[in-house]
Amino acid sequence: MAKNNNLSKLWKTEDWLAVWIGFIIIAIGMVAVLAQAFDFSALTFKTWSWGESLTEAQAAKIVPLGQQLAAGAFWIKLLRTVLVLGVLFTVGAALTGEKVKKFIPAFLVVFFLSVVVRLISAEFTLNRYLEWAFWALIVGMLVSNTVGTPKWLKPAVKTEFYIKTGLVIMGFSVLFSNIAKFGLYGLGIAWIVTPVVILFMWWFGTKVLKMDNKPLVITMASATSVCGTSAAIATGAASNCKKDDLTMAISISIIFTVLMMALEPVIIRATGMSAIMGGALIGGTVDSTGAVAVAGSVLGGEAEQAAVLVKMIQNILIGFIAFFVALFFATSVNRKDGQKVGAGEIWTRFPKFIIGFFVASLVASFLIQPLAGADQVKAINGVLDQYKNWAFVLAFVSIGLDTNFKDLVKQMQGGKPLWLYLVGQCFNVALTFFAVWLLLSGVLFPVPHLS
Amino acid sequence: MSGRRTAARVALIAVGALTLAAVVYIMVRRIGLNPELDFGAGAYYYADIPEYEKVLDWDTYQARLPYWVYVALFLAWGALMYWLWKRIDKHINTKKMDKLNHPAILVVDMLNDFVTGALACDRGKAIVPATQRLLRAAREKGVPVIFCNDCHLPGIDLELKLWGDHAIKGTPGADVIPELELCDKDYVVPKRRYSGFFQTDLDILLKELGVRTVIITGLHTHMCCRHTSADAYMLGYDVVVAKEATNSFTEEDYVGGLAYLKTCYGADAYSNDELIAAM
Repeated sequence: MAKNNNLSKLWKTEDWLAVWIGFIIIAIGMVAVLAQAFDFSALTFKTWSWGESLTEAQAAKIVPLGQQLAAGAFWIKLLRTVLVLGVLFTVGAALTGEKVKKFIPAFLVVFFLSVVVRLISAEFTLNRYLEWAFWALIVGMLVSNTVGTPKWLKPAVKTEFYIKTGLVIMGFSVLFSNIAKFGLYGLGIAWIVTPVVILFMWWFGTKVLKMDNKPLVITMASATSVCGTSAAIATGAASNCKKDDLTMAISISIIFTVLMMALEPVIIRATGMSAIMGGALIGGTVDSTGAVAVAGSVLGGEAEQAAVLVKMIQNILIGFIAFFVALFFATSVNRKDGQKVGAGEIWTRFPKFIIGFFVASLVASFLIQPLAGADQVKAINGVLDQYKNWAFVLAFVSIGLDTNFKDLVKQMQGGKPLWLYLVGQCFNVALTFFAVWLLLSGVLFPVPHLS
Repeated sequence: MSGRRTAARVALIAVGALTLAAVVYIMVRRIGLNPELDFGAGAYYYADIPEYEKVLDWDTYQARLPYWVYVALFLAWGALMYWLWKRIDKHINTKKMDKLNHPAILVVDMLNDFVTGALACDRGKAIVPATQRLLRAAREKGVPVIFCNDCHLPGIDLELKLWGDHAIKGTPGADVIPELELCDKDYVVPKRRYSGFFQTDLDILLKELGVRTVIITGLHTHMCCRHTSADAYMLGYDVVVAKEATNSFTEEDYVGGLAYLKTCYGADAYSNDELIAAM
């Protein structure tokens, strides 16, 4: 029985190991930045181009691929990234019972595919529209659906492990102090609307569309109403959704984000809405944070500020929403008829990495930020963000390696996820517009001044 | 039906193709980008934005209220929404029943020996108030109440070897518990095996009463209730279960019993409120 006792779960289950690996990376990142002891930054590709015609301003930010590869720092960072993640994930995998000899070569290949993904997603046009989640799925699926994923690669195809670790690291950047950044206006637009949209989509998905796959419904709902890919990853993991569900939710969100990013500012401008209203509407409705900033900036500085302020509050919401989704699924959805769930059972079912995610967020918000200052927290997050991204890219490559096109088509369930997204997003736009009009049009409340 | 399905498929393909075409067009024409910003839709999270400090680090709005007010509002609204979510989910999962089709209530073995006597169990006592409420409502609405009672012959009946003497014919242990207020309008069907149908006149009684749906109540969910449900199902009756008015010795047996009835006989379990509304 010793094998299954409660204490040994702390270092033998994937959930807890993800927490410890996340904490180790956060701790090293903190020491590196606060003590300025060493460089801990992970590898990133700078934007490159395969020969598109660019304006002068755009071309100024391009670093040719050859030049990037010729720099010594590039290879040092590559080595650091693969060593840090390789060692930690290998130890983690070994503790869960994986054979080290089999894990290491498999991990190196998955990591290599992840490098390819990040290289592709740093290309000028692709970087601006689709980025890594999409390309990771494509690269993984290309391998699995053509030559097939070899058996020896399977030990390192550990989607949940990478995702949970990435989320714990991400927890450090969820800063509660930011919820007051836009005062009651921000809370009204981001926090009042978001849960209502989630509830609406839950009702629409489970009741009207009769979707039995509840984790998919909640993952779609949070991708639509909170902040796209990052929210889908967090709630998907919290509700223990299947890999195909996450692929579905994220693909739909990414594709529609491109549309909304391009079209929403045009429509807003055509309606003659004020900049602050248009910006807040974009912040509340366009899924991904980058797209919000870009679409807002098209309408001018004030709109960009309003858009980003609203989106930033939504970024913090991820933590809360993932926590409550985990609690909801531990207490309600997995229950059999007539079965009551006790506290012990809830604890057993509750995904532990959410605790790590929350602890990281609380430590950053209420310990490190007051003690070391906001600038230092930003510097630490600058370092940690890349590790988070590497963990997520590893996860998405793993999903691709595990995904069969046929399964994905089945997953479409006659298009139900698409209708759920479309109807949910329309509801989101309408409700956000109502909140924006109520709060920012000057009808009921004074229009806030953004300096 | 197939016409609707085809229409839905055509609509799906049309929406999907249009969306993809629009996205490719946007990407090729580079619509919606800001040349000043070195990122786009692919930056999923604020920390993914290159030099995000510059983009996000604004103190453009001076909040007037103290910080804790925002936190309190934030938490309060979150808690309210979570509560609402639970309610909505419960509501969605509550099966809406049509009116029950000519129902009758079968009360299985709610006898002194089962509740307080030889085979007494606390879980049996626990369902007495709910059963009492359901039977009162049924009598008021004219729904027949039929007691299927063990009525064993001492020294002969097979079950007595397994369970020991209980509910012996003519003894107080074989009487319906007083709380259920057996009255002249009710029917009593004595039985000598688990099932209320086996070698009894229950089937003919139900047929003469015009009953099409039996509502199973009583003890024990996974034994006598299960065997009675089996025969009811095989004889062509619809079976539903009053989940507040049936029980077993253990929680596991109760949960397993309900699951078995659902799986094998399509017997959905309903609350008293739902049943009373549908009678």
